[in-house]
Amino acid sequence: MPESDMAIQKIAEYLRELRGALSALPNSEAQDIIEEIRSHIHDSASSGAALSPEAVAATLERLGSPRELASMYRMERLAERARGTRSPWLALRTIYQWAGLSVSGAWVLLVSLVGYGLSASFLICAVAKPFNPERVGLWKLDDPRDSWSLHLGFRAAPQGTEVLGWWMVPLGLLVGAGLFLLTFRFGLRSLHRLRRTLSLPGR
Amino acid sequence: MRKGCLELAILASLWGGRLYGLEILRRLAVDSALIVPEGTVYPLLSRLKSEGLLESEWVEADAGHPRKYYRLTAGGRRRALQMARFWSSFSANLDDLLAPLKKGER
Repeated sequence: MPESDMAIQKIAEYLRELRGALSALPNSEAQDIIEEIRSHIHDSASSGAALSPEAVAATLERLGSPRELASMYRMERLAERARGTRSPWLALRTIYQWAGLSVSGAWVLLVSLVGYGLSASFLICAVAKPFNPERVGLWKLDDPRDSWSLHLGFRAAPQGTEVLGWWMVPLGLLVGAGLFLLTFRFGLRSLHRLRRTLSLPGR
Repeated sequence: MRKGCLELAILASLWGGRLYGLEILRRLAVDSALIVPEGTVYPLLSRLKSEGLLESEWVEADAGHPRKYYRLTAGGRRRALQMARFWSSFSANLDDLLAPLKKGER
């Protein structure tokens, strides 16, 4: 095989892997990236007209592995998204993607899920109380090892005394909404911090 | 090098007109001796574009393949100026702080 064919094959292989690693991106965007990187490799590796396998190998080395390059693209997209996030759902989706890229992202996701989970439990209690007053509420349990139980009403009421009564409705709404807001603000602050580490303040 | 500095360096390199990725890399290396990992520049260019600071166009070249050129948008020029101002005042403050150290050298 002529040397230039080997070089071209190397490039094609690299770009195929990059394409695979970018599969999370919209097709047109991924294609644009592939074309730009292809153009870069050709410009960077060709001296005169010929592509040598050595020059191509050196260029690919400087670019980093397809996986590394792709994860940098995804990180930058994340930073861009983090900027405009105003809705809890979008923030959570961005955090979810962040979790796939770094450990700190995974922590933020974990805390967010726990926070939203707790918030949902209180809200469900508040809403379900009027429909199922016998089973929904906050119980002080007889069992001394495990003394409190927030019951959503899916199973039979636990052994013990229900302490909140109808207060479950306003308190559940209040605590649920409060936890929701706290969790949302925590997510936003984390995203802003992520964005600051990637960018210089200019305004 | 912090990403933010790289952001400013890229915006500054485009101040004089459109360039494609490799030209930006070369300009950074030649004009400012900034050796930038190539793999970081292209993802950053793509973000700066989606933030509306840059715009890009594909241009057919003699090389036989098209090249993706970037240029500053009006917003990009504003942002470059803001960042440059921030950077100047930051480094001036740091210089004041470093002045005693420089005297100490002698």
